[in-house]
Amino acid sequence: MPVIKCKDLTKHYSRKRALDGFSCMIEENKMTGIIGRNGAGKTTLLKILAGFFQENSGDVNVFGENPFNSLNVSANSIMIDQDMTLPTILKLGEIIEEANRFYPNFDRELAFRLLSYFSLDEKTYVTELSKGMRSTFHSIIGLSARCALTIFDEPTLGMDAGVRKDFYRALLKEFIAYPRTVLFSSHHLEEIEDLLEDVLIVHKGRNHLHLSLDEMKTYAIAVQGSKSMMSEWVGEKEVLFTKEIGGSTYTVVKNNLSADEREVLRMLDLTVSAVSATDLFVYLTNESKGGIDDVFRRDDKG
Amino acid sequence: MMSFVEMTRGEVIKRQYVYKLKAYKGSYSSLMIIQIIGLLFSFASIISGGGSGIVGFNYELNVYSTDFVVGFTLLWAFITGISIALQHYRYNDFAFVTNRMTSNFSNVLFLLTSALLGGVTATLIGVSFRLLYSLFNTVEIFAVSYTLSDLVIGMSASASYCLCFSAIGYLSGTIIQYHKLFKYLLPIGFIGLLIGFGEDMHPVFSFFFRETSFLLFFVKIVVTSVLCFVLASCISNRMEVRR
Amino acid sequence: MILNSEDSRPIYIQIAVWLETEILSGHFQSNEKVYSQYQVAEMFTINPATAAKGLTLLVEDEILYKRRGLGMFVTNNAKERILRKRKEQTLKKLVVDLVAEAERLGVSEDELMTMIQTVRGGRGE
Repeated sequence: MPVIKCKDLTKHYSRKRALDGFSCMIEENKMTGIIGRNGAGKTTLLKILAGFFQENSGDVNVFGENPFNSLNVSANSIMIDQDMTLPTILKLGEIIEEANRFYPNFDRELAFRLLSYFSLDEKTYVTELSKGMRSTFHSIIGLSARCALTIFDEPTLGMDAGVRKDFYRALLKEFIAYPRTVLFSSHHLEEIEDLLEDVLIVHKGRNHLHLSLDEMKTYAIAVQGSKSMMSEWVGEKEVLFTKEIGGSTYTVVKNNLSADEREVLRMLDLTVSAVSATDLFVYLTNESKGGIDDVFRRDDKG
Repeated sequence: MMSFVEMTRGEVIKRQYVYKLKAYKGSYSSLMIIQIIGLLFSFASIISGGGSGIVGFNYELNVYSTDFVVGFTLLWAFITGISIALQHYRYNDFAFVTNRMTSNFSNVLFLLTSALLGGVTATLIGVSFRLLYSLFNTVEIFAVSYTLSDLVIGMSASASYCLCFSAIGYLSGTIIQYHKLFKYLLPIGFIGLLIGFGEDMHPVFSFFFRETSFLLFFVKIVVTSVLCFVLASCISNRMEVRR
Repeated sequence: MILNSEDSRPIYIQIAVWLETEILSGHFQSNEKVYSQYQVAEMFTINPATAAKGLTLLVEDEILYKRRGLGMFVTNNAKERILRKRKEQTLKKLVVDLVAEAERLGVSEDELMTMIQTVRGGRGE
């Protein structure tokens, strides 16, 4: 039963098209990573799903209804991001009590225990917190609320490495004990890889790729060898990334080689290596096939 | 899946209302401060021997009360109305459970409560001020009697005015939120109106301030307030949560 | 328990391999219950669905069997199966690589044998 269904969503601001025909289906109780470059449309998508923004056209369904102005969706979802407007006049402890009143599944004991674990004083105010501590506090609220749909939009901004690790572990434990649909947007895919089941790549306002993490890890392979061998072998194959290192070429292609083709690689003395999910993501969303080196490449090689 | 929660609108409005009573407590302290300032102005005006305060605006208030306190309280009501319609407070409930309808409704309930608070406190201060004054100045016996019903009417009138000012403030704030341009257009519009008609005893003021029947006055105030709130709700219903 | 972050194989495969090793070393006897997907998930800080995939892989290889509502258990001849699998897949692949590398370096078969024997001798086989 898909919890989220999007079809041909568009959303534009004055000059820019943030979402340009976005479609997707997200099943319940999965942890899905929402990744994309800066400005790809991730936050816009998440804000539409949370009911904060309204789409310009297309269909969006969360729990079976359009999330904008829906009380049902609001009661069963929570959006955690940098600018969660929490009252600045209430102390952290008081905010937790209020959240507890709003969300029936909220676990206030957990929230207070997390608060003390992360050394946040329940008597301080949100404005007195550093950026990292604020992110931590927002995340604590998000975890404790136990909403059927929990959306994290870069929740770890400013958190130090230790806090991040703890947060991921807390998220996992909560997810195991009280399953829920989680959307996690982060620029640190390598950190959350193990936690995610699926990944949705948002690129230029569209659903570029939606697949499991395992599929992503084995999506492409990197082949390396002498320049001449490589250009012969690559031929007409779809190249995702290529780079020259000295006399050899390093090329990334889709991993759809048969056993025979793999033998060929061995014969030609070309080495094969895996491509990490993060690297794949960068290659898939790069404008140029050669990456930033193209900026520094001069046509006239001295 | 975490058990699906269903909440009625009434429940959400109630929870938001209680939440706002706490989250907006800054308005209570500012009410106190502003009334104290008003009190000081009242004292000052007595010492100087004349009731010449700010021309135009003050004169209107003197129709039913001579208090600076009430005037300042009305200002406070307007400011409260406009504040909770603006970004920072408006989006407070979006961190939790809300939709625009319940958000507006609970805002109105809050403004109603604070208007009541403002009206009651302003009237009481006015009364006690006059009492204290008469205690320390044995010069004249007050010719005007002040019954309990006068007190209640006074409170209701003040509260009603506060509500009306809050409503106007709330509507103004919502309009400003709707489009940034209005941040400049609205004040210019207001000042323009005042300048243009100030001396003319603008019909709008007469509509309210010259009304002799209390019941009719009350109805006018309520209708105006309701109109403001409904209009504000309609405008904000399509608004997005942008920080 | 930490997963090797250098390992580029999908997590569920790493889980399966780790569990096989546990069975081989005797941590689990035949017909004994192994960890649930949730326990594995918590142990390695991974998604429970991924852990489940690893367990399912072992079920397909008939190293584990599932008892509805009770969990995953070690099959009767799991140990033998694992040994056979490792021999036919992992070890064989190593041999293939070894032979290929030897060929590349021009190492003769006898030389290769000698190298192997030296290593085995050094380990006191």
